[in-house]
Amino acid sequence: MKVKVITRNPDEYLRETKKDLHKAPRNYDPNLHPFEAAREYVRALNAVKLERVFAKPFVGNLDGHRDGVSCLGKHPTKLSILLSGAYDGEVRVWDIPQQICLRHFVAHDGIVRGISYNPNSTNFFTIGDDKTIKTWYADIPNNASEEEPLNTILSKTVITGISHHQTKPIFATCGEICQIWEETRSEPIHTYQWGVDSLHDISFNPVQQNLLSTCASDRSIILYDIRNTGPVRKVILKLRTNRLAWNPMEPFIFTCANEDYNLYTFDTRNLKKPVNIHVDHVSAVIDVDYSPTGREFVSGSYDKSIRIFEAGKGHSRDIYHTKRMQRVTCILWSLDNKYIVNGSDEMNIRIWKARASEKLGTLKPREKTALNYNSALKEKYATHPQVKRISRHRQVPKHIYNAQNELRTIKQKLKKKEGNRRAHSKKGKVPFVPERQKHVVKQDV
Amino acid sequence: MNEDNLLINNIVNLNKRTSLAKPSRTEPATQVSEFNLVKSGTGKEVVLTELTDTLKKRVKHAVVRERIQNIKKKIKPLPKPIEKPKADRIRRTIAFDKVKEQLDRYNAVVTSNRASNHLTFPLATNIEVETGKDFSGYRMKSDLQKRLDQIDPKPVVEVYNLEKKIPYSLTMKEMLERRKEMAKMKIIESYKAAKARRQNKIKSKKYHRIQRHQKIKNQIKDFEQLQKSNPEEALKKLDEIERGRAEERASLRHRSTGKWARNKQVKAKYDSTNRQELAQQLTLSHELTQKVKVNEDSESEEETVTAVVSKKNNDNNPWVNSIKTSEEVESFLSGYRKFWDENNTKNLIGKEDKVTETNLKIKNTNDEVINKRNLKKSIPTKTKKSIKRKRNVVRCVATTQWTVGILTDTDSEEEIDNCLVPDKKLIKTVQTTVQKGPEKIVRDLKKGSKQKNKTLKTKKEEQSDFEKLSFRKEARQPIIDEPLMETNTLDHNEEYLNKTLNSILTIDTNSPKDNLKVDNIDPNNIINTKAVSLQSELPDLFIDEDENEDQHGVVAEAFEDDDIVENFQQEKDKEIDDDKPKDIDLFLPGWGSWGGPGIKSSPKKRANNRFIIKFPKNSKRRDENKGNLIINEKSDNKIKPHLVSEVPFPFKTVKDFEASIRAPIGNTFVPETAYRRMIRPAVKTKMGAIIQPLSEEVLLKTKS
Repeated sequence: MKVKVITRNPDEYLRETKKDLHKAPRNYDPNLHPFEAAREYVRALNAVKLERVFAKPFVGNLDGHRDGVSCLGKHPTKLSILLSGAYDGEVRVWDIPQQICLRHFVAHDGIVRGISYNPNSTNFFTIGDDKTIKTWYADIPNNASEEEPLNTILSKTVITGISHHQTKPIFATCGEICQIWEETRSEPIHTYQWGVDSLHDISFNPVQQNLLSTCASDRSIILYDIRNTGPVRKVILKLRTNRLAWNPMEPFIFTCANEDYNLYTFDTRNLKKPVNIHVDHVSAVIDVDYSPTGREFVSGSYDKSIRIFEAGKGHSRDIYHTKRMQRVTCILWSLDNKYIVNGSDEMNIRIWKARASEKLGTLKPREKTALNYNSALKEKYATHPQVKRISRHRQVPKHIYNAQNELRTIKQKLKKKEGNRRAHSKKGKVPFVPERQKHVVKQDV
Repeated sequence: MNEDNLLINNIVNLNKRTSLAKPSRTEPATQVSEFNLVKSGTGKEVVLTELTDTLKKRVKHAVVRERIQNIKKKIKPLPKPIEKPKADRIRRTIAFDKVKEQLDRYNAVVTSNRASNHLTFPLATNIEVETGKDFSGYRMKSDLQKRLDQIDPKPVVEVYNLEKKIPYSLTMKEMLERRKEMAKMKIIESYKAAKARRQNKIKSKKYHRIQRHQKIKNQIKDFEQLQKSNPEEALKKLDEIERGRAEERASLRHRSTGKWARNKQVKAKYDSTNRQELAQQLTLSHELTQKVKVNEDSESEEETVTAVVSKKNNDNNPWVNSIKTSEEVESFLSGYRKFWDENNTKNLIGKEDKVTETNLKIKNTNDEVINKRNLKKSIPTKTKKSIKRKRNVVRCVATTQWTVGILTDTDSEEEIDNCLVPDKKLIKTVQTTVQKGPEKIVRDLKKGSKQKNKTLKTKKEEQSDFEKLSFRKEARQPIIDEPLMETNTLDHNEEYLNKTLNSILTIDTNSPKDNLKVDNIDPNNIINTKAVSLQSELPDLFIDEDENEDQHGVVAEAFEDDDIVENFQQEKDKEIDDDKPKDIDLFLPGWGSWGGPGIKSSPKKRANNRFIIKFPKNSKRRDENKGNLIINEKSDNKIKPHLVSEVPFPFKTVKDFEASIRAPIGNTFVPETAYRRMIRPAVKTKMGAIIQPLSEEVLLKTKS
């Protein structure tokens, strides 16, 4: 009798030590996997569905203010600390992870217009409608009654905005005029004026640190060079710019939130036309802030919603809203690129996840790779109609939905009208103007 | 006192005009009021003529006077300063240019960041690592080590740097000398190479034989000399010879397995000369594989050694152990010859060793002869090899007249490889420039030449540089820049209902209209039209028409008796009937009459047209006019919504898009390492780490 025995080399299936992983022999020959594309597609579909299932961006709510929140301030070195100022002049210091108020005091008579830490986070500055700049210790005093400003500067003019230099002990304020202050001095070291209109926002460039920009109420954005003569260029848009944010990774790029429901991204070197127009909001955009990676930015609008845009794209990738959130007054992106914080009219500060379906906390390696795989699949199959449909579908409040329809009809009407005019006039009399060139009125030298 | 003073002052001031007091500034301020500025001095202007008037009268000062008058004529007063707004504008434009220049410095960093597919934040900054110190050897000593060191202190080892640089460089004279020497060497080398080439071309067998003999003779002489003068060297040489033998044994040369040998074997039956040649060949192989005996004295020793070796081998192999006679061994082994051949080359060598050794015992051939012959055979092969190498060198030299140095085989190959594999950077630049078109290339070239001439770039050029820097991303992915599909629950539901209803009501009424259009087209024309090629890489299912006809004939022949046409028609009719949409009956019992259990609604009412939504009778199918064809229009209804209908944005052809989709990324289909690489996220952040904005340190430091 002939007995056939299969013999195997134990090296191929036994592990050397107990701690080794079990060998899982795989044959990667594509002929053995005829349905690999189909299987991956199904996985992508499942991944995108799960993403929407887990998309719960709202993290928490900080309540305590007795009036609308007017401004927010990031702590430059601590992720957990947040500053906020309100319309009633109250300033609050928050501990975000614990969601508690660490400290609160009335800083100004009237609205707190701006708030900013200094770079080494020993002090912070507040400005208010009472024309004062107040310096406060960042450390909490032992007794709440001891809350007193370290320094108070009485300004001759109204102050509406403050921005601190990235490294030096210099800060800039705006109001009737743009002023540069040294922390230790009570008089501004520079005063810049160009035109007579009031300025309502100011921001230092975090990278090219001598560059400064303000938004004026004559619909203009003014650039300053503090090392040089001061104002260098002014660009006037069709409507007022509310807020301006510099890209922290691309020093020549800034994005401004405009009154005409759009955001405009400009290249500082070429202000003739915006690099990109970011649409989607249905009301004036109030505030904008870049993510620290410079790849995305977030905007808060008067339409009671927050939208997240990818830097190079014209449409938002996500919209956040809750039933109770009213007009968004201020917004910021946390320095670890994970959270978005916004203050709104109805006295609350809300914390959101920057990526709606991201799992918080530490991930185990296998979980992490699985999530990475899922996101890679989603990217790969992003254009497939079902994947796209699921991943890009959002529920919006009725007022936004209706406003969008209205805007759409308006836009169509305008387009139609222009088309008609073109059809019935001499050739070349009604030229085709690209959308990007429509919004800049002029550039002042 | 003070009051008195005041009073006096006031009285004094009564007569005078009231004048502003000179202001004194207490605090430095940036804004100085113009009202506070006062003219200093008496206010009387100094006029030049008044000063020069005194010079008029004297002859002595005539020269000075003239000179002053000349100056008056020549020099004009400074122009009026530009108006303030104008001056400001100029200042601002200059300042803006400066700002632009500063911002332009970041071009490279920004573009590289934009193009890279994977970024880890916070971005890594260049940390200068202190080199030159070796920390690897340092370790804290344990207490035991310390005590041991106390007992038995280790000698301090001083390390000298053996590769010391020459403290002074060569002088001009020395350099020239060295160069001369090198040139001489090169010339000699080229002569030798040429000679070798010439000799290689000689085909005469006799010549080669003589050469070989000469060489062998020389070698033997050398070897003998070596034995006397330098026994160590001789041993080394012996080793070499031994290795040659081993190589010979390992190879199949002189084994009578080649083509030549087989031919000879065929002929050997009838021809004695062939037989002789074969025998010679065999003996040759024996000789070559024989061990070399250095001295006759060591012969006995060698034999014992071999015996021991064979014994050892026998121990390893139980099969051989029991069999004693060589013949038996041979017969046994011959049976397994094939097996060994196929399976195990290593074992084969070992076994053959034994076989030859047994042969050794049997034959006991003369050692001296073997020794000599072995030398003869092993050495020529070596020389041949060396010649070959030389030939290679020669070739390299011949291609270029500028010989630089001695080239080894490997070196030359590498060099050629380097030449063939173009520089990646070069390719990139070429690609980018090619994309930009010829005009830009010309501009680039101009720019390059300018840079060589060390001329300064103008600002405009730099800006265009930024545009040029923009390059493609490594891996392309579809870019979706569309508004979100934003819906409101209520409206959405209504819309959805409307849609579904519409789809029911409209689709089938519309379809006949479409089909009417189709109706007018001649079906033959449709067949004749060429299929639109999508430039896809998926296989196109084209059917060759001639083949089709052939097949048609074959099928017709095969089913001559059956009425397939009839059968097919029946099948088609059935298919059409099944596919036809049915009328929708919306009748509900109780409408306009009593309802409930036991009550039957009248058939008349049931048949009422109001309740029935009829589908148009004249709905036409796509395969209606095509007799021998059934088109199943519903076959891909399920997969349709999953298919991409348009080529997404950055891709231009279907082929490109398919290429981006085709390769799987899961670890079920690709190896783990590839999987890890492919799923790397585009942006990676560290938990709890603050991402600082870009800093100026990122920029490269330029030499001032």
